[in-house]
Amino acid sequence: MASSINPVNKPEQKSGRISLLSMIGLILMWWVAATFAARPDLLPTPDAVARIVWKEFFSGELLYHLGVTLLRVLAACVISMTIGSVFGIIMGTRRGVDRWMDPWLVAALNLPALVTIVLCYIWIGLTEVAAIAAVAINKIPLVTTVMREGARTLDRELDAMAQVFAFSRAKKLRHVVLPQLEPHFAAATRTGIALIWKIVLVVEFLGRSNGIGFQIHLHFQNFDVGYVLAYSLSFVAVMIAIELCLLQPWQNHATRWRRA
Amino acid sequence: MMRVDLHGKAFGETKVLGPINMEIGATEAVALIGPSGIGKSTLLRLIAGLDLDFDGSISGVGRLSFVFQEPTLLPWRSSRDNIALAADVSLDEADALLVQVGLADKASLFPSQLSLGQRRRIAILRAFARKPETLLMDEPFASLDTETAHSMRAMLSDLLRDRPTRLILVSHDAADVEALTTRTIRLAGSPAEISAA
Repeated sequence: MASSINPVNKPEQKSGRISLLSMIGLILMWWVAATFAARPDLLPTPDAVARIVWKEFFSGELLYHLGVTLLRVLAACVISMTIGSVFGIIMGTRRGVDRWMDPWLVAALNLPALVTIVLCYIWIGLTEVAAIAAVAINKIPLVTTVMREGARTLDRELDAMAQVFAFSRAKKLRHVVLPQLEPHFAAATRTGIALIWKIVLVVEFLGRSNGIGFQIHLHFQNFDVGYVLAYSLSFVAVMIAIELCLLQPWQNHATRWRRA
Repeated sequence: MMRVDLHGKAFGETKVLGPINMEIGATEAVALIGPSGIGKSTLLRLIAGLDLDFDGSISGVGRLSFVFQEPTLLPWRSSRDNIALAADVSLDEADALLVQVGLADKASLFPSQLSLGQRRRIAILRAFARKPETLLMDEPFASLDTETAHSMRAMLSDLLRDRPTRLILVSHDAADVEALTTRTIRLAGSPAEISAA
């Protein structure tokens, strides 16, 4: 059998190697800076942080807090993507609704995350519902904006085709509308998750008794930079893994017809 | 019998179509001709129910298929899926149609992997797969080279012979009109009306 080298994958492989080398370079720079600073209480070396990660991992603490934070991220993401998508599609396809709701959207986009979090905790209490609601409320305006742009560019001729061929509402949504919105949905999800997990940490920092944000708060009170870095970098690693192993492959699969 | 009793159609202040009355039989093939911009496509969209903002009535259209100026296929679906999904037929039926016109090897390809002529063929197959009582075609062979247009005309002629249906064809090409239709309706004037000439 002849060897098969897919030329399409070559740039991706090269890009992957460059990303890996870039990350190794960043860690080396950190190592050099920490060694020269010689203040492990302020800037521990990567191996010191890795030892903390190792210890917390085997004690079960790291996995527990990672899991709790991930569940909050997932819940907030599902809620905000659902509500934001509905608002975005309605605003993008109905000009009258868009005119009325656009000022609200602009105001919501400019509302600081901290204000929403504090207000949710005051109005709802220091509960799980308040924590997830605060994160979702922060994310909904961004999803709405992205999905509105997608809905504005829906192909009118495909819409006419669906009407002539008597597509039901559900069939049109599934086969005509959603595939056109998919790139916008994927973009909103990817940028949204990056935003959500950072807000989740603040929410946990301010008002929860578990999660990565809570652990950062705990070790911040002890000025233990090693633990702060260990917990936060562990979660960064998890989010990068989700991006690389779930979100990117999903987006590639959904848009494979564009590369055909 | 399909009846069009149109009193007028306007876009804002601009009246595009004037009074138009016509009747078309169940298996009659009619060419709708006239200069560019006269309102032929607008009339087709009224018949298709895509524009309901007009004065008059249209009845007896029945189950409808439309071959648009552009193929208007779903870019994220294969040729086979495009036919099966839109016409609500099985994948086997879609495959059978593709075999009939020599596109069996293109069944799993996306529209972007097909030439314009092939995409137009798929659009025509999709229209026939629905087993329409009325088939509207808006310049289905536009932008095609002479040879491709000729072979597609032959394909369409075969399909019409096997599956008789009411056809309203908009075309600027006399060859289309001669090969595919038995009656010609000419639009002229402003607003457009049926011209006796």
